[in-house]
Amino acid sequence: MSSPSVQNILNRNNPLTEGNLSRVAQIDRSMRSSVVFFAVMSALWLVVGSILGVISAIKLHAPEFLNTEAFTFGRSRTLHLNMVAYGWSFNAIFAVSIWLMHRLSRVELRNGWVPILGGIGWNLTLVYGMFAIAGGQMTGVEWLEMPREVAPVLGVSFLLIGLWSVVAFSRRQTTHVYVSQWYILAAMFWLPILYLVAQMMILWFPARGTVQAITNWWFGHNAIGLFLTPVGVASMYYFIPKVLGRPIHSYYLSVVGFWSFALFYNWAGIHHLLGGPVPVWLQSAGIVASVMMVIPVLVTAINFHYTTASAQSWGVVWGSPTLRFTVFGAMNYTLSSFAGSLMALRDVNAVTHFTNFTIGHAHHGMHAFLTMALFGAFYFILPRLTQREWPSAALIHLHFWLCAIGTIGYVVVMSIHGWMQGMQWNAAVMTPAQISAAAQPWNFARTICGSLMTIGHIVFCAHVLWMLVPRAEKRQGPTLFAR
Amino acid sequence: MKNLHIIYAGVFFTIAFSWGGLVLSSQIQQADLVPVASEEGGQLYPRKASGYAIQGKDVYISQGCNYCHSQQVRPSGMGGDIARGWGQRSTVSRDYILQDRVLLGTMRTGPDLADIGGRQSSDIWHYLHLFDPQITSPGSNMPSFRQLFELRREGATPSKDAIRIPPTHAAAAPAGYEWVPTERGRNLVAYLRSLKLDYNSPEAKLKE
Amino acid sequence: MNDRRHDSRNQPRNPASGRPFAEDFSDGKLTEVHSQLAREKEEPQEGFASIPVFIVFVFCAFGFWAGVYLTRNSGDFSAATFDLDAVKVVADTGPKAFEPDAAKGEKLFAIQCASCHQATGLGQPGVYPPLAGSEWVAGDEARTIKIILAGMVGEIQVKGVTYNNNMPNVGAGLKDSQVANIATYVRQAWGNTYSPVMDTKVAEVRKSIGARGQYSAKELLSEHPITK
Repeated sequence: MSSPSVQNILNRNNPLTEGNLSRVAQIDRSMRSSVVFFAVMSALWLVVGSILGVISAIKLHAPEFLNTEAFTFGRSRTLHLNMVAYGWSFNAIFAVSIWLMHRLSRVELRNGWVPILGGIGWNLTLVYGMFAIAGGQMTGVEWLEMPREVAPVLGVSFLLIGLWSVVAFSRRQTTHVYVSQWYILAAMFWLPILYLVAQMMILWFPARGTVQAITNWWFGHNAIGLFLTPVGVASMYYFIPKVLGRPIHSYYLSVVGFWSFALFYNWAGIHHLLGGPVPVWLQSAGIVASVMMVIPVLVTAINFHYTTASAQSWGVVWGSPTLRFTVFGAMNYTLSSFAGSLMALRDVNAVTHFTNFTIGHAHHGMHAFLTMALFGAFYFILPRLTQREWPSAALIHLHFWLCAIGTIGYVVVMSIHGWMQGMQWNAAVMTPAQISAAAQPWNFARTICGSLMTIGHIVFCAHVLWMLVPRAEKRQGPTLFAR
Repeated sequence: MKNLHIIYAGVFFTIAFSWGGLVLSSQIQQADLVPVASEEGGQLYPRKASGYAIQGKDVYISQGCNYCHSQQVRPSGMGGDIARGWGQRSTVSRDYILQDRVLLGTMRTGPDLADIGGRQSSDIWHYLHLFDPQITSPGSNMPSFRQLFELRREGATPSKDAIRIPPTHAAAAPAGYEWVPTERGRNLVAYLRSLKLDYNSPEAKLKE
Repeated sequence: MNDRRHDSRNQPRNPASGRPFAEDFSDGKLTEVHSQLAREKEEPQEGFASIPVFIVFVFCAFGFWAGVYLTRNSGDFSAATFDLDAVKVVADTGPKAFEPDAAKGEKLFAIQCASCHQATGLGQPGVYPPLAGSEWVAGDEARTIKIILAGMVGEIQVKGVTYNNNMPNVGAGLKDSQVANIATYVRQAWGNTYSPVMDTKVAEVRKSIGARGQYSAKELLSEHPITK
């Protein structure tokens, strides 16, 4: 525990000092090509992946829509998941974690071609993997659908990229290690271990019977919980105090939050198998871990809340694109995590498992929390790297409202319908065909909400590309929502 | 935190702890599960799958059937699986030990298939259902799997495996032609018909 | 913290007007600082507020619950326990004599037949023929059994309406007792008042027809004519 510098804490407006300013400028310049590369890649995958999501959603109320073998529901849905998971969120997280790690460690990125090489390997392999899925070369293992030969290339690419965050950390010029750095560091260690073990125990040397399924969900849930979520949390831990110019409320809460997160999230994945053919003690362990997730989430929420409240300027939260997206993400991190704990309880799970409720929850976490938080990070990072302002406040507005309404609408529609669906299956009165017929209006509403999000993503992607196009006149001053 | 050794050790310990507790312990606990016979010298259950069924499973995976259909029956205290007749008992670990890919599934847009071979043993039903679910299950939102069928010129007599699509159907074969399942289609139906939960396991007994 | 800072200043300075410290540039080259950075705050710090007391109580409560839950729902950490509510299996009382049970038949009907013939037994007009009041259900129980066991295909007249569809051999894989229960239900539901069906009769019919394709209406009528 480092001794706090009281002056630092009391320094209200806290601008970058002159010396740091030029240092930071150098650091930003060194990261420009690699971070912009990952940001553009992530935005492109996001658009393609979202369009496939909408196609899959349409298929649920119009089953013969685009019904060719390559785009049969089982494949278009899988393409959607893999594109938004490995294409969008991984690339976006590479961008954000490289940037955060170098900024917080106060070092320049050296040998920037290494992460870019990794990024090229990563993205080309993903393209190959997507064609393989559309061609029917799926493995049947959720979250690991791409054929197993992609694993070595993806693994090496990940190490090239992830290693650079760790290298930056090990060369750090600061004495204090900030909470965001713990999370990123942990994520960069956790994912390769998870991926290696899952590939080995499921695809290369398959374990027997349901041990496969246990490994599958240990990996699948932890890929979210131990990689995507920690970097999302790291990003929120950085941008909320950063933009407000306030210290994070409590270091002690951060510590408790981090360690309880690391301990409980690891065990929670088994809640995907409740009621299934795995011994009951494993299920109970998964339930307990999922419920205990309330602790890290509550602690983090309190920390964010007091940090934001201490600034006493909700106008800044609402007016800064970075903060509006990040705080939206933070609120939904809390909500979706609490919902997740609730869904792990046996009696609730008996209804919600196997229904749209779970899918709504997945989008709550992956979109309303993670994606929105990453958008917030990009709205901060890209102007600093490109030395250009965002061209249009109106487009950011449009992006926010399309995504916010779309994602909240989606979660609400799916939760209500998922609960109905679970009751209908459990009551054993309606036939399966009657249940799917009763789902039609809900499936239609789902398509509308998904389309809103997708249009928002297209707006975002177009805005990013527009920003990168060289222009004569530059916009002066920050692009904010309100004056 | 300043003591980085604690961070590194903690990060490693937490993941090793969960892997050991969830995965490794299951690997050890389930290591000695073997097929058993319900009576001395009787048939061993779970059965070994036939060659056609194993090939059909690849079709099942490549069409992504597992994203809408689970293959697990929950106990009667959890959900309506048994009340729906999806199985006469809940599934247990032993039922899956001979499968090289376990497809438990996480979503039920359609019904569970752990016992579909016991519930719908008719191959005609499966062919009609895959050709167009509206024939056997009107109102279903399952897509048709026309890629598993081919339109063939009819011989002197209709071939034995031709699918008799009702003549009023929009995709009914034109005169002189007939719909026949491809090899993939036949394998898939063989796989579906092989999915049966019709035996007792030491961990769970059939209801009747 | 080794960050150099000027605490007296609380506004971002215009970078053009200030001279950076020379030691901040390893290569000694002056770097132009862009406007986005000039308005940026210092990297975030941590405050050191203490943990609220109520949180400690919340933790304790959750920890207590977790311990209780895990002890009560561990299933003795056995690999053979899958169902917490599993009742002890009652000793087998030996084979029971079969009695036609329309209630069991109704459950099977819902799974096997209702998607076409509907739970109301009315079918779908013009597509799937009705069973309620159908002359094909009436009379000889062997006809009902044959349809369930082998299925039917092609044109058929039911209650004066012509249908042309394909009924699979749904009964082929069912047990004799299950087919008997379905047949009993069909013959006694929706106002139908025909005799129940025994499993022995199903076994007999199954043996007599052997492994065969679906029936056409004509063939079935020649074996079991409809009597008004």
